[in-house]
Amino acid sequence: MDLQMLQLLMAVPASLGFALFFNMRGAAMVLAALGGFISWGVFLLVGHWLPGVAAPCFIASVAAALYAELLAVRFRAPSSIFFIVGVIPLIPGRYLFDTMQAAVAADWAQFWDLASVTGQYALAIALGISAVWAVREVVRSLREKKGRPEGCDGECPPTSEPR
Amino acid sequence: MSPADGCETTGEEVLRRSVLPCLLDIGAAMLGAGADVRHVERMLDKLGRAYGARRMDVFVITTLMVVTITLPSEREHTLSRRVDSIAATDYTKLQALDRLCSGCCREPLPADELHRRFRTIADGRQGDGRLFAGGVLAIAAFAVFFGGSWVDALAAALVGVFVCYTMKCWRPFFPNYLIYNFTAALASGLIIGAAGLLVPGLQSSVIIIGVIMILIPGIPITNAIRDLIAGDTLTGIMRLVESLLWALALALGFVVALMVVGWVG
Repeated sequence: MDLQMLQLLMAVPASLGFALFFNMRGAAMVLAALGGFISWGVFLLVGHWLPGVAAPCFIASVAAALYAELLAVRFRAPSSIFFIVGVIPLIPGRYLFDTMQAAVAADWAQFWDLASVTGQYALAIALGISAVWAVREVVRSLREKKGRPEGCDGECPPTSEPR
Repeated sequence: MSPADGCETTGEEVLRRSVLPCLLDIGAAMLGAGADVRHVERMLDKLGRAYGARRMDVFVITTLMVVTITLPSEREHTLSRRVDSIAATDYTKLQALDRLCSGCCREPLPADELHRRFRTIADGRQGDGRLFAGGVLAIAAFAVFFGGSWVDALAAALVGVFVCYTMKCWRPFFPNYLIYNFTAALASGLIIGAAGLLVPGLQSSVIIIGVIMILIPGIPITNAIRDLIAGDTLTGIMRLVESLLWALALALGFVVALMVVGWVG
């Protein structure tokens, strides 16, 4: 089987393992694991058109974050755990290992090259979720502002009597 | 006396003495279960207001929570809580806490009932079966994902059992993640290296990568960069430095193991 196809298939059990590891259950666990398929699929797809790892990884991270937001709404839970499970295949474990091997071999030119790629992966993943998070926060703020009484800025009348 | 006189009513005393400490306990448990600081801040703010606070000032970083509650009588009370950062991410617990908070925001429970329900959730333990099954499945799947054979996947699964055992039985005895990560990486690296020497054709590298994937602090690093971008600079820096040190310890453990295996082999 083609390695990319095998990777796409293995992204699901890998993410499922993490969902179990984080004590997810039921439909949330299965749907969160599909996030791994989505993020790696987007990464491979975008990688055909865009050079390097940063841009495909960023777009895949955005896709995983959007999917995580959908699941967070569906299961009324924080989106971060759905995101982490979905984005697991993008974590640069291979590059971290190769970086370590370069250090063991004292091949410092190779070490810095690989460390740079590892850093690009990590930054692209974080920027992807940050972009989606920023849009979500703006939307939430606008909604909360609409629902808040006029003139109320942080100090509002209590919603109930102390119990 | 009325609240306007500046004296505390019975309801306010309950809020200060019973509800406020429980809110901090809930926040600490949420952080431990994997919630990000902003989510905890927002949830505690809503909860406090739902219980009758006029104003809530909530400050949360990964290791400390400080909450100042302004009662309807304008009295202010501040409570802080040191948060133990050694806890396992537990989605089920986090979701249960989230539901408890959301329910209380709509219809606040009496303080003792809130405390009782919180304890029920907080005392719930993640089953060992899920931890082991998840760890083994993830490590074996990643071994194949990174180009390993099915034999490599089987070997990775066996190493996965060992890694999960260290998480379950060793981690509580280590003073911090730094030393745990180094030791777990060193021990599993030596086992994988020895297996590589004994079993011809076994690709040690893909098994090590599988173990790296499960031990690497992916959640803290991602949350750290997001916190930095979100403006929670202190939390972001603390978490980033901490998780980079964990990752460094992990890498060092494997580097030492690879060197030892290299000398022996």
